[in-house]
Amino acid sequence: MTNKNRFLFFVFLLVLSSAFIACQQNRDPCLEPRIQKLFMGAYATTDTPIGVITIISVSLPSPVIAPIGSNSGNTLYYGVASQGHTFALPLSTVSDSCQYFVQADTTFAPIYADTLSFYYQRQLDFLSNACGYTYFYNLQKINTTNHNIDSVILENPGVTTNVNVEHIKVYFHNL
Amino acid sequence: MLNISKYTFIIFSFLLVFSTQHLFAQAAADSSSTEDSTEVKPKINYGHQLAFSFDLAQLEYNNLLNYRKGYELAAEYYMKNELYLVAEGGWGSSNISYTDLAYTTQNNFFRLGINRSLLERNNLKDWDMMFIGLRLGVAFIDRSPGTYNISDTLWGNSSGTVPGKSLTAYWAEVTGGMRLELYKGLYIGYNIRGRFLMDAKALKDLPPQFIAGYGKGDKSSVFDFNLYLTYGIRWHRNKITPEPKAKKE
Repeated sequence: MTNKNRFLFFVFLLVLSSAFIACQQNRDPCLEPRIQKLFMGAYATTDTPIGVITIISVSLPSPVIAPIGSNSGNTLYYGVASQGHTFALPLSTVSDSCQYFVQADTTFAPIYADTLSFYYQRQLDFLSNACGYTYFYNLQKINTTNHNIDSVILENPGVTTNVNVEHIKVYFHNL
Repeated sequence: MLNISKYTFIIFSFLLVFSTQHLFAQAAADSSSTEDSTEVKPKINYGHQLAFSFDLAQLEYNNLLNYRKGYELAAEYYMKNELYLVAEGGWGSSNISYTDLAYTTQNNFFRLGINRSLLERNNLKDWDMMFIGLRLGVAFIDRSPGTYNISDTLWGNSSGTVPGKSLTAYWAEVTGGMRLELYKGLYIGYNIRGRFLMDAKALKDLPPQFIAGYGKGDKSSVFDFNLYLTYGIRWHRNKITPEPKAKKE
């Protein structure tokens, strides 16, 4: 290579590389959820003509799901049809237990409302410098009232950034 | 699986550079053996060069990214057969002060490795380079206690402190670049680097956002760029040593 060609090649690569510096930013965007959620699947038990009980996943017709004793008092789900059969419930970051009010349908009488109580261990986990810290949870016990909920099964106790896991199955009757 | 791939890549890179070196040596030997029959090629002694470099790109990084400060120096010695021994070092700090995460770090670092020039010299005074190289790096890091805040509008915010720690980071890197002589020993050149952290688990509690000499500590592989201003001191240069004549049988 002649000296002139070397210089031109050098300038070309220098400009290209300088673009690399220009693309740097102070903080990367956070692409992960900072608050981890428990995923609850809704199921129903059904009597068939031959007396066999089948279990099907159901979309709650008009659900009401709200945290009990939270700061905001917000209702997470209220009367929205076609929610699908999976519901995302944030667990408390300040306590090792929390409760949710669950009613399968807004038209149901209050007697058919239930309370789900979650008991778990929190584990502090570093996500990244972009997102900071979060809590992962290890579910230990779930209590429920049985007005409209038949039973609850703990399927996966680990609540992490994985959003493809159904952690608990909640079986309703009278749907 | 990722670690295996990473280490395989590092080992492959080392083998590549050394096999390239072997290949060039072999080619030189082959050409000299074929030319022996016609003429004796003189052995060119380019002499010695010791070069010192200062990284200008770090100044640009420091200006652009307000959470970090870093400074890098390098020294390089020409050995033979276009091989250069390289020692690099520097220091830096970072000040992370986000609403959900805050800590500071300080570190110094050292890198040791080789460069191999791939550019054919135009003449005896030609020290321009286009090169590839390998490095092994180590950084000694002091991280202050980190404070975090997890913002949760539903249940309430939580905060806490992670204790400070002294950390050591090791990495391997592959580099390539170019260097041109502007005026009598004064060069400008750049390096592009790919770095591979060897023991990322050692940093996993709270990996520093910036490790001087490496980059983002929460990434197991990073790219980096240096722009070096270099001054080279040469001695015993430009001597041509003829090969001793073979004895006639």
